Amino acid sequence: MTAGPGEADDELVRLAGKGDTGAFRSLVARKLPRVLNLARRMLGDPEEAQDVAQETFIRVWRHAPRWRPGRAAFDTWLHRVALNLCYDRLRRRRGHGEIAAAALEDPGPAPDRNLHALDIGRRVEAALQCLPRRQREAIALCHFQELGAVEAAGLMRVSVEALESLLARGRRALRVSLADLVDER
Amino acid sequence: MTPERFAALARSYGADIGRWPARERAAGRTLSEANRAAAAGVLAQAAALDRLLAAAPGPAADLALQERVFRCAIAGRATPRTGRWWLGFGLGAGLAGAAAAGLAAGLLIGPLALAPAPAASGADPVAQASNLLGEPPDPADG
Repeated sequence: MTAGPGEADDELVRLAGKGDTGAFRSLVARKLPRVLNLARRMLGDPEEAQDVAQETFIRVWRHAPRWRPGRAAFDTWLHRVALNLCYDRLRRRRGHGEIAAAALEDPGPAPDRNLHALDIGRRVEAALQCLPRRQREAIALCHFQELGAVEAAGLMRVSVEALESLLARGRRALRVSLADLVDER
Repeated sequence: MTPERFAALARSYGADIGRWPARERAAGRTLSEANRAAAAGVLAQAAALDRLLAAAPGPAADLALQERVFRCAIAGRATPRTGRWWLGFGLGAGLAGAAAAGLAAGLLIGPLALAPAPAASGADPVAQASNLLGEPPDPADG
């Protein structure tokens, strides 16, 4: 029988914890896209997202010897570490009165509907960065990271009902800010 | 499932019933079959936003980045981004100049070169993750 994704993660972490750099390299290849994606959605800055990814995997390597399978899914733990690093940066940013780079680059409503896919992607990214942090986090976890409602709510330490409310408000705000792009055909 | 609950789930999770909470999927599909026209309208509205979100793909984790992240982790410290090389060069040049001027640059360069990257502010994110005691949600946010 083939191991599921969670079991494969656990095995790679177990080997990495014994100093197996090959296993750790595989773990980085397997999980980096998810960490990078989460950090990018949370921070809106590709370079800061790379920094968070680096810091996350430094901690994974350091803590792999103490990883105990079964207490929590490794993927959930990884999200928790990356989210905490993102929170740190957002807190510092708020202290400095900075605004996400993507939000500053918001090109605004399109003058016509012939936007290129790249432009649409930028508009969506900028609109995401304009959402309140908790709404953005809910959308990042459920939509982009494709986590289940229970897992996402657990990571955010809210009830599933509260998660649904954040998602609904976030999606409604996105619909408003992207109204000129929404095509309901 | 009521039509109101169906609409609420679509507003929160989008048009793909497969991404709704597991315990509500079957009822959602049943209602969708029983009230096709109404359900289709609700799902079409949600799908329009889903398509836009799909138009914002995540960043690429290319092989060079994978290698850099791997090496940093093994080394136990973050390295400067590629785009910041000139900062390191400027610092090095400044220190070299100071050394040439007879200052005690040798005492400075070693510690600077070997100093680990500053840790993220606040408590250790791993401890927070392990204890599930990370930063509580900001009630004023969202």
